Amino acid sequence: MSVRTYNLWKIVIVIIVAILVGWGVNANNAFIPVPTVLVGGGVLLFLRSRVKEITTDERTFNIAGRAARFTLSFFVILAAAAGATLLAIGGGTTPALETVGFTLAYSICTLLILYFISYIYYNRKYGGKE
Amino acid sequence: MARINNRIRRLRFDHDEMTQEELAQRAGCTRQTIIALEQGKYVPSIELAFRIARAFGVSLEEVFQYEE
Repeated sequence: MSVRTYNLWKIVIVIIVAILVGWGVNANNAFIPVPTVLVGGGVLLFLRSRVKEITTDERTFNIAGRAARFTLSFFVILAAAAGATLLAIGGGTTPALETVGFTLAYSICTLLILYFISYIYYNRKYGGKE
Repeated sequence: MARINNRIRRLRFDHDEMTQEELAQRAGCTRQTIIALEQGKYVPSIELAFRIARAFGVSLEEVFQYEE
């Protein structure tokens, strides 16, 4: 299978999964979205395994790494500012804002912890000592 | 500023107009990477540089040149 065919199938499957998930959520039925996402993901993995052409290499990994790093930095700064603002505005007076603020703050903490753990792992894997 | 140039386009021409797709398959990378290399927008790892040189059957220095 060529990359072009795979990409076409990917779009079709994503549309079908999105429709079924939306329908399941509207119908308040959790037994539709969860299996749909699992089956859709499985079908995509199967189709991907049938692609003979090379789809990823060092350049795509490089780009993905840079994009991930930029996204992390951008989200952390934005979420920290939003979280601090919400906590300042809603702290003690508006519980809803306070909850969202704490959710953002804990999300940032979780992301940064994951980042540092993965950084230490890859640093050791590729020969770093610190 | 140091720069790494390459002769990939010329070498493809010399090898019976080898296509970018064919070179990508031989070197084990994507066609987009070959395009980026020919345009001078990407510098490959040592491993990929060796694989490209091997795909042409020449030495590394015949494909890539380091210029200051």
